[in-house]
Order: sequence, then C-alpha cells, then structure tokens
Amino acid sequence: MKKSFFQALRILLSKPPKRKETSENTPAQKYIRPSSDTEKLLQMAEEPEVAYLNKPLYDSIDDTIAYIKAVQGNCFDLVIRQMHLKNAWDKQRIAVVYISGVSDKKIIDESILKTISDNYRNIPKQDKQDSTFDYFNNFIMTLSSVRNTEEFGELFITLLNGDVIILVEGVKKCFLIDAKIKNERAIEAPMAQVSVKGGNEAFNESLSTNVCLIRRRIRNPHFRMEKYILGKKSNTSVVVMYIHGVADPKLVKEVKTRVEGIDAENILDSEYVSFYLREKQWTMFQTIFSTERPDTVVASLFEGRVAILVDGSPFALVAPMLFVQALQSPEDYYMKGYIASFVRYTRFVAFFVGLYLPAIYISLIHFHSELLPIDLLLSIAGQRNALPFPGFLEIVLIMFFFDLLRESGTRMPTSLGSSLSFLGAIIIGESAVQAGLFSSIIVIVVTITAICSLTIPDYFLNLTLTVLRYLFLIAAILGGLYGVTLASLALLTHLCSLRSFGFNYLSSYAPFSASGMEDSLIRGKINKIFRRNKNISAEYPY
Amino acid sequence: MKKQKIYILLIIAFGLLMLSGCKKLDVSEYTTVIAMGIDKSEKGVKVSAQAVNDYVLGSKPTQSSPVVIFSEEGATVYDAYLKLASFSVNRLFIFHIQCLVIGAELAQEGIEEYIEFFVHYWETQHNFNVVVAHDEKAEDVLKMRSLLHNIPAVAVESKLENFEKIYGVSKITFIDEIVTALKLPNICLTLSSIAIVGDKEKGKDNEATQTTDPEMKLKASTIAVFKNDKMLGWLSEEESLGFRHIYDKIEKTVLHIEHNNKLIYVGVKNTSCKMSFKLEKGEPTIILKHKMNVTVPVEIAPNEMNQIRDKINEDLRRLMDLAIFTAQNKYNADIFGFCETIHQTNPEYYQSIKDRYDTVFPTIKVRYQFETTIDRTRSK
Repeated sequence: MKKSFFQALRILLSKPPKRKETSENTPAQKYIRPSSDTEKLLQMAEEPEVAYLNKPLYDSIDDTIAYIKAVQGNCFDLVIRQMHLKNAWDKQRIAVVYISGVSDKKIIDESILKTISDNYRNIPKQDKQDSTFDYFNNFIMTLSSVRNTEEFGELFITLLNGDVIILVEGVKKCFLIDAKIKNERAIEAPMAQVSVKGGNEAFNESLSTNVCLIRRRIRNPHFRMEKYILGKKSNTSVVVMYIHGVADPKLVKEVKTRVEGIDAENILDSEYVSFYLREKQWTMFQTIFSTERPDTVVASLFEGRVAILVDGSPFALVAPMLFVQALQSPEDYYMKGYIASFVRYTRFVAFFVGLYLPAIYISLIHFHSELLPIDLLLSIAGQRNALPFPGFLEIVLIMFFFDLLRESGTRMPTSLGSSLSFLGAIIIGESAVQAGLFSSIIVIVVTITAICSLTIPDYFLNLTLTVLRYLFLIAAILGGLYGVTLASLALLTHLCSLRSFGFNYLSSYAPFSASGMEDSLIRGKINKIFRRNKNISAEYPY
Repeated sequence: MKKQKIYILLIIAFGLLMLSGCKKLDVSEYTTVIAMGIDKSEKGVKVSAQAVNDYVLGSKPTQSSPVVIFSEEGATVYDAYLKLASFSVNRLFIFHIQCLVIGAELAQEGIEEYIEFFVHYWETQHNFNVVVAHDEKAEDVLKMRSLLHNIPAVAVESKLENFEKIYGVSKITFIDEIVTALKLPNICLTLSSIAIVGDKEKGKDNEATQTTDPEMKLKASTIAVFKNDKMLGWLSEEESLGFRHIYDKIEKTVLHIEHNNKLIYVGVKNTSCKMSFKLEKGEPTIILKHKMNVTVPVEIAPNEMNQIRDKINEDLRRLMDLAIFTAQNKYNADIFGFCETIHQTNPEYYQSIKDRYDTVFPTIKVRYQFETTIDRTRSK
C-alpha cells in the first residue's frame, strides 16, 4: 500500500520525458511547392522568423513570389496575378499580389489595373532613358497613393494591412498601393463614459477611423502624429500624438523613448502598450489614462499631454495621468461651473464612501459601539440578534456575493441580463434577510457602497476600489478604526509614491499647487483651465 | 531584495494590526443596559438594571416588553452589578445608560460611596443624567412602562430634558457635577427628581401602553436638596423655579402679573444671572444681576412700560426670595453657589468664614438688579 503510494507520488512529481526530434516532429515541409531551385527554397523556408524584415527583394518575380508563399504558407486568400504588358517596344511582366480579405477587389480591378493597362498601352514613342523602375513610376503608375519599397519587411506589413503589391520583373523594388477595405464597427456611443450634452462618439477598433475622429477636432498644423510599428509578431501600428509647442518637449521625448523601447512579441490592445509604457511600480491604480471618447483625448492634447492610439483597440491612452482624472467626467465641462463643482463633490464623497463604508460599519458595530447613538445601536442590535454568521463573516460573504453578481451581469446573455440587474441583487438580498441569514442593514450598507463606487467615471478605478475595499475590511476586522487608519495611511503613502511619467500622481494635492486646483475638486472657469502654467504643462520633473 | 522588503513590510503591517489589542464584543453579543437604579437594602445596596431585550427590537413585532429589569443586592455597587450576570443571557454593558435613578431612602442616607462606582468604572461614560426618585424606590421607577417611547429610560430622559427646556424646573445633572459638588466644601448638590403619578402596580403591564389615559404616568418633578451627600428634602415647584433662575440659564418659562385687574402671563426667554459679592458695612451681601427677555401679550403704551417691567421683576423677585428663604432657613444648604462667589471675589473673607459657613449662610443678604427687556408686546 505504502509502496504504491510513493510510486504514484514519484510519477506525479516527475517531469515528462523530452520530446525527441523525430521526422514527424520537424516543421512540415509539405507547403513548399517544388520549383526549379528546390534547395534554395528549402533554405528560405527555414530561416528564423523575422529574417524577412530586412531582406531585399529579388530580381525575378518568380523568386519573390515563391518567397512570399514560403513565408506565408498556403494562405488561401493570397491572390497572385501575373500579367504581361505590351506596348510598342517590348513586353513587360508584372505581378499583382494582394490578400483578398483585406484588400478591396473593386478598387484593384477598376482603378489600379485599369490605370496600368491604359497607361502602358498609350505611351507614345518617346525615348526610354529611365530605368525600368523609374519608367513605371513616372508614366505607368499614375495613381495617387503609390509608394515603393525594397525590403520584404515593409512588403509583408503593407500586404497584410490591405495594400496591393505590384512586382515588376527585373526590378528589385515593388510598388505598394493603398486599397484597404473598411470592415469595421460603426462609430457608436461610448460604453462607459456617456455624456448627455457633449457629443457621444467613441473610438472604434480601426486606427484610421480613430485618427480621423481626432483630426476633425484639431485643425492645427503643429499637431504631430507619429506612427510606430510594435510587436515582433503582431506588427501593430501605434500612433503617438501631441501638439508641438503645447506639450512639454521633454515629456514628448520621454514618451517616444519609451514607445521605441517596447520590445514585445505581440501588441493586441492598448493595455499591452500601457504595460510597457508605465513606470515599473507595483500598484493597483492606473498611471496611464485610458478613454474611449475623442473629446477627452483632444482636451488632454490641448492641455499638453501626449496621446497614444493602438490599432485594434477602442481605448486611447493619454500620458501622464493624475489621480484626479479618474474622478473627472467629460460631462463636467459642458455644464456651468457651480453645478459641475457640486457634482464633483458628490463624486469625491462617493469615492470615499465606496472605499470606507464596509470597513467603518464593521468597526463601528464590532469595536466601537459606543460611538453610535442609542437608537441606531438598538436597531442594529435588534436586527443582528439571532443570525448564524458573526459580523465580519457576514459582511465578507455578502460583499463577495455582490461582486459575483456584478461579474455575472457583465457576462450574462442579454435575454437573461435584465433579470439579474441591480434591483435583482437587492431582491435577493431581501430574501436572504427573510431567510434569516443576514441582517437588513448589511444589505443596505453593501448596496450603498456599490452605488457609490459606480458613480466614479473611470471604470478602472471602480475595479481598483473593489479590491481595496476588501483590504480595508480586513484591516477593520483586525483592528477596528485603528486598523482603518493604518490602512488609510498605507494607501495614502502608496499614492504619494506613485509617479506617472515623472509627475507625482497626486499632483495638485500632494505637492500643493493652487493653480492646479482649478480643475480638481472644483471645476473652475473654462478660460482658466487651459492656461499654460498648469501642473501638466509645468516643467518636466526630470 | 525587493521581495524581501515586501515580506518584511507585510509582517510588520500584520503585526501592527494584530498587536493593537483591539478586541471587543460585537453589538449582538452583549446586552445593553440603558438605565440603572440604586436602592437601599439590608445587605448594603440593591442595584437594578433596565436591560434592552434585543430580540424584541428586531423587525418582527411582538407583544413582549422591550426591556427587562434585573435587581440584585450586594454589599457594594460593583458586587451587586456583577451578580446581575446571573439573570442575563449575555454580558451586561452599561456604556449606554441614559439615566441613573437613586432611590429616595438611599439618598437620605448618603450617596457618595455608591456614586463613586459610576465615576470610576471604565465602561461608563459621563454623560448620563442622575435623578432621584420622588419618594419611591428606584426599582419601581425603572419598572414603569411608558406610552411615549418603546424604551422607558429614553422616555424618562426625554421627559426631563423637555421639562427643563419648556418650563425650566428640572435640571439635567451629569455625574461630573455631582463629583465636584461632593468634593468642594460648603457647596450643596441639587438633583432633579422623577415621580410616579398613579398606580404603581398597573404601570408594569403592557396595558399601561394601550390606553389613552394610563393608570400610571411618570412625571418630571421638583428639585432635591442635598447636603454633604445626604438628601435633606424637596423644593416646591415655585422654589425650584426661583432656584433655577439664580443658578442656571433658563430657556423658556412663565411669570404672572396683574394688569388691568386681570392676571396675564408673561413669556420669559433666555435668562441669565450673575452673582457678585460685597461686604456692606461688615455684612456679606450677594448682588444678583438677572437678565431676561420677556414677551407681554397685551397692548401697553410706552409710558406704561416701566410699570409693567417693575411688576414682572416683582414676581420674579418673589420666586427668588422663596427659594433663598427655603435654602437659608429650612435646609441651611448653599445650593446656589454663594460660597464660590465669595471665594472668588474676597478670598480672605472666605477663609475666615469657611469653617463656620453654616452660621454665616443664613445671614447673607441678597440684593437684586434686574435687566428685563420687553421684546414684544401684542399690538392690535
């Protein structure tokens, strides 16, 4: 018995045997079409993955096409059309290469090929002194968006982005023509930050649309947009935007340095970029602001910040971020100052209530019941009389239950989603009270907490609060109000130590600057918010 | 290195929390006592506690009483208080007591040794009201149910507060005042009292709360005079009012004057009284400067103002004279605090009379200075 147990344990804990390199395990070679130069092609297919980036094009079209096919494998949507063009002097062979899913066949057929064939035939007898490539460039390819390249890297990236490649026999360059299909979601209302008075456009997943949304709002020639291609395997386009002259040049340089230094395998979302861009400090708070509204991004650009758009992500990043931004909503700037300030106060209060209420509740009834007035105390004592769970277990359970509800609500299919809404949570809470499991007051406490934390405009701070609430609750359970004070001190110290691109995270409050307070707790006058000497446009700390 | 730092930080943080020594009971794990009473008994003292029955206060409405009275005898208060645990399910927690009732018999014997428990016990706070039961036992007072609030102690407390605010006869006394009065020589303590009007036995039942005219009512009553921690007696209502005019600030009360052969009431607001001392021809004299705002509900001509004012002052003077006369002659107790004023203005004189204050106090003359402001009169 014992022996077999130990044998079983040994088998469990032992490492699996290494895979030997048999003939079945090597990468399959069946995708390479046999050609005259089989060995050369075999050599091509076995090169390391990113060798195509700097590889120059081949002279002959056949070789180039064979290489493209070798790297891409047998992609069924890769379309290669070889043609002979004839004019008065000689024949010329060209090849048109595109991927049918992302390139628009209509543009190719009607504009590109038509232009080529018309021009090639109709060129009168003149001396042909240019090289073949220049001849093609100047006389034949009279289309507007033509570029050329000599390397396979750009060829592949533009091919995969949706452009058409025209290969010319005997020339080591190729033409790249823009023929992208726009297959994207329409511009819809934002999901998280909805505004009543301001516009309700949100970014969608396509980089060109997002750039267009911002361009429409800034018509300044100093507005700079610089494109980077990041991610060794995903080749995602990332655009860094700023207004030259408004943004601090050192901040711009810092952002650009960090973006250029991104050494990632793939970039799928703006969160990936934000991971590489932010300072390496362990925190639950966001140090780069993400937003899906173009008007927020444009306002930040005018304040002197730098914005980053990532292809495939509807969220734009804005650097740097201060803590107060999480409590600002774009709606504030479309109302009168006094009303907006009042609404901001309620948000600040809601932030603190959402963070502290469960902790203060548990510390008041468990440790400091002397602080409660007699009526409240007796009412709570009456409700908590014959309950099965002790106080702290009760509140942990019900907070966890509410978090589960929130999470399942986001994942529920729409047909069931409405039935498990917030009201449903309260009804379930009421049934639990009737069943004698919880006291009514705890349902109210948790509901108020959840409502308050949903008031926060920035969805990510909401999620952070969800975690922090538990920590404060544990601190309260262990130490009462003293524990809550210690936890607050720890949190405050942590927030003060955060940096976002060199700026202090609690910038207007922690190193206090009166001029920066105009947009934090109160919303000051519009003409004062965009002055130059604010905390962001101030001197870069480094 | 960084990971090590984090672990050390976590250990320190956890240690800070665990070592703080904050271990208390949950709200549902103790029984709240909201009123206590002390009585005389053969063994020493009988302590009664009015404890709240949590079960009844929950969301399920029941017929049972929301409070329960426990009483136990013991040699000292602490002894009897601990013995009360034999009656209760949970630990008794006397932090939230609203009032302390002292039985009349015990008050006449001396309260100092029994009050001392409530001053020094660490679980009490010092903001509860101390009252004397008017010719009753404290236990009986605590057993009475009230129509006006579910929990009788809160009703009692509210009645006293209310009476103090509206008519000005009661006095809210916290335990600090008692300690001061008992420690200082020559100054005498006064406490409000609470009386039971009607049938005591019927007041304990549930039926007392079900009718419009209950058989028993609790009433905030007049002021008790103590000397050297023993109760000497009661002041009548007029005397109590006069006493409070001198001693305390009254928010609202009533005086009566005769005008055009009719008795009219005068509403008095915001009185305050300052005492000063003078030796006039070797005789100790206290000068009382009294300020108040009055409202007269009749139309008076401007030349009659002074007349009316004099009449009002007369009535007030009558009340104050009554109070002082009773204090000086009947009880010989300096309840107003004259000795303090003497001590502040003329310390040498006070030193000389300190030991024989009992003989000097009845001879102190009092002069009045009134500053009555007629705020409003009714105009036709």
